[in-house]
Amino acid sequence: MEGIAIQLDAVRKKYHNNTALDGITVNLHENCIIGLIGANGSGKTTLMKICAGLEEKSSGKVLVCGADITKDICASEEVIYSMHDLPVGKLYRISELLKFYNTAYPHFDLAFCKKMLEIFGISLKKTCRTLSQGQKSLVHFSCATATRCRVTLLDEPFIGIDIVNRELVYEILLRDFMEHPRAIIISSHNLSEIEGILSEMLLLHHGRIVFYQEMDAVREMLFRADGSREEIQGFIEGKETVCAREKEIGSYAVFRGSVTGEAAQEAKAAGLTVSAVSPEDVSIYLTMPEKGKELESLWKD
Amino acid sequence: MEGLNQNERKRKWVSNVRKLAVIRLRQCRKLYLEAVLFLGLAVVLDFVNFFMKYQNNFGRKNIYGIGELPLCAAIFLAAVFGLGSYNILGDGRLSMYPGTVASRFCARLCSDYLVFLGATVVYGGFYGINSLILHVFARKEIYLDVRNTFSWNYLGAGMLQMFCACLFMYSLLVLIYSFFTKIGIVFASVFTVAVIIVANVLIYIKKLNLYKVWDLLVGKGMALGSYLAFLLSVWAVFTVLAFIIAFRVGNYRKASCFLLWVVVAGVFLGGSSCIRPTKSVYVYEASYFRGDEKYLFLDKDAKKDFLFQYTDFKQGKKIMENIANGKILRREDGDWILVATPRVLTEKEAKEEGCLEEGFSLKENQMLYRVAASDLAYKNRHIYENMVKSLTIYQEGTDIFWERERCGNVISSAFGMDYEKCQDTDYDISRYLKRWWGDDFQSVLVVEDALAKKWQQDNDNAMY
Repeated sequence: MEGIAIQLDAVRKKYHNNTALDGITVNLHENCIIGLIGANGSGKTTLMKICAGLEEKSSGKVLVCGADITKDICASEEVIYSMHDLPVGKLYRISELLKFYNTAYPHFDLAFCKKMLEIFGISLKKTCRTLSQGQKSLVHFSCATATRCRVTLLDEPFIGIDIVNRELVYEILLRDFMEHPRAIIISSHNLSEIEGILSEMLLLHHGRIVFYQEMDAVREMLFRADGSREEIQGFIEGKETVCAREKEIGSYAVFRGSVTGEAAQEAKAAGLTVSAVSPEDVSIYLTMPEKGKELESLWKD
Repeated sequence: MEGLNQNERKRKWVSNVRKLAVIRLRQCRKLYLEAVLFLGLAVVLDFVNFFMKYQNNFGRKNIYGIGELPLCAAIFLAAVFGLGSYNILGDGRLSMYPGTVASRFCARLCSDYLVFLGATVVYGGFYGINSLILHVFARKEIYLDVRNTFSWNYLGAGMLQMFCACLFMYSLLVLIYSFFTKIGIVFASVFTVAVIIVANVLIYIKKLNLYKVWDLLVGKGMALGSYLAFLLSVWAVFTVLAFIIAFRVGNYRKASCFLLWVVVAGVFLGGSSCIRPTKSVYVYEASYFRGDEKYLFLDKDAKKDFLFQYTDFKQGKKIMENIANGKILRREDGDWILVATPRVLTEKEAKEEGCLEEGFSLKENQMLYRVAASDLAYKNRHIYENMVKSLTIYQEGTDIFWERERCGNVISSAFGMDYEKCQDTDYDISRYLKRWWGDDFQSVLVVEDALAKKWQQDNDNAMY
């Protein structure tokens, strides 16, 4: 099991008639920061909760640190699931919350956590109900980071945090990861901001894995060719595209392959403007629903 | 994870349970504080009620420990904590910390049991404080008898009963909740409706008496030992079953608290409309003296003799009149003895009427006061007999006083003493006798012929 933090084998989760996860099979690596990306309802939170043992899977097998987290205390102590709004109870002071974490997690670094909260300007005497949304996110993020768990699951951890503190958070996360390497899995809709700290990315769509790749591979996954409608129509004929938009203005097509690859060179030769596709756009192009016609219907009687 | 051996894993598991229990206890400490304040408020209100009654001169003079209001408050709190167990598998505030299904379940049980233990200690503490205040108050109010206000035995028995009853009720609720999580909300609703229908059919058609069910639950008529054994065995079975179900469910679900309220309300509200209590279980049904009185004092064991000595006629007359008028008072509060006014007979008359053995003979300047009662047993408890046996009547000059000593107690029976020999009279009186029982105690005063004649003459002379 060396090198694998979480092993998922044909994991399914159904809520009555709704399938949240549809046979997920993947091995998430140790000692890397993994971005768990997907649209709303794609199954990110469900996947994280199942990995943390907080949600029951309908079928399949989940091993965290090589053990079944629902039965193994040691494995359980090596996993932290954190989100922007945990059910910690509104009446506690933050200092009390830190005590709970300190009691529960064997590697919790209390001093580190206190320092982090001091940097964020959050008083330990405050009660949880007096915190703003951003402050709550910062508190939960600080606690989760200080647990130093081998598997750290952060579910939308940056909601409500202002841009200055977000920059601080990314820096702390990356630096702490370098000091204490572990598997950190972050789900976020703000991929453009966090892609710099991610080492791998897992894209989910409708409860299925679209891909699980290193960030460098993701950056090389697609390229985009822009041109006039005729040029695009002429070029894509007989070729497999990820998506294409053929309009009077702003026609383009997205293809699989690197911007430096053969297909891109061919597009260049055909007079098209070729550009690399960012990881955020990759996730958009690969999961974008065909809703153009539905949008137009908004302004029609 | 693989490196730990079996023992280390066990230690880790226990440590996890301990950690989670500590977190849970810390999380709920405000709730515990509120519970203690609530219990304290009930005690204070009970005091206010007591003093108001006392001021209006119709209150109890003889106090038997803590009132009913704090008891109701304690039961209410136990129910609240019990019903709070609906999220024993899905308590988000606890399951966000590391643990397994089994360790979270056990941690929750441990922390809740500790709460019950704490509540029991607090309840016992209030009993002690209550007694202390009454004792202080009684120093100024000489008519207040507080001797029976505090007893270590009652304290122990009460606390044991309360703790075990809490465990019993909690385990029942946890079992139902675990069962509900297993079968899901739809089947739980069906189950709820089915329970209500079956219960109401039993109540209406089979004439199930809910009082009997209640009596069983509160252990009425049972020795403390048997009652505790009953509670603890049911608790153990329910808890193991709940644990097995929870372990099989294997996730962190919540059951519907509402459904349980529906079950309870459906059964009891439906049943309450058709209960016709045929006979109160509280009334001790012995009424021996309404039958043939002729050989009453000889045939029954439940009798006790008290001999009084006098030096001259004047003193003898005074004693005789005091007893004949029923002026036998308790020293502390002046309470009259709860015995029917005696018939005054000479030795010869007493023997003729079967109140005195043939071989019995009074010594000079002596009179006999004999108290007797039925020795019938109610629920195996010879209450009247014990009351008679524990009675002491003594003279100080011409004044006659009575007092009753404590007998063995229910605690003794819980720890192996022969139950027949350890009846607790005061406890029994407070528990079983809710009506005036004085008429069920008969008495006779046997005096020397000489004293009777002289007294008669004296009276005749006084009349003319």
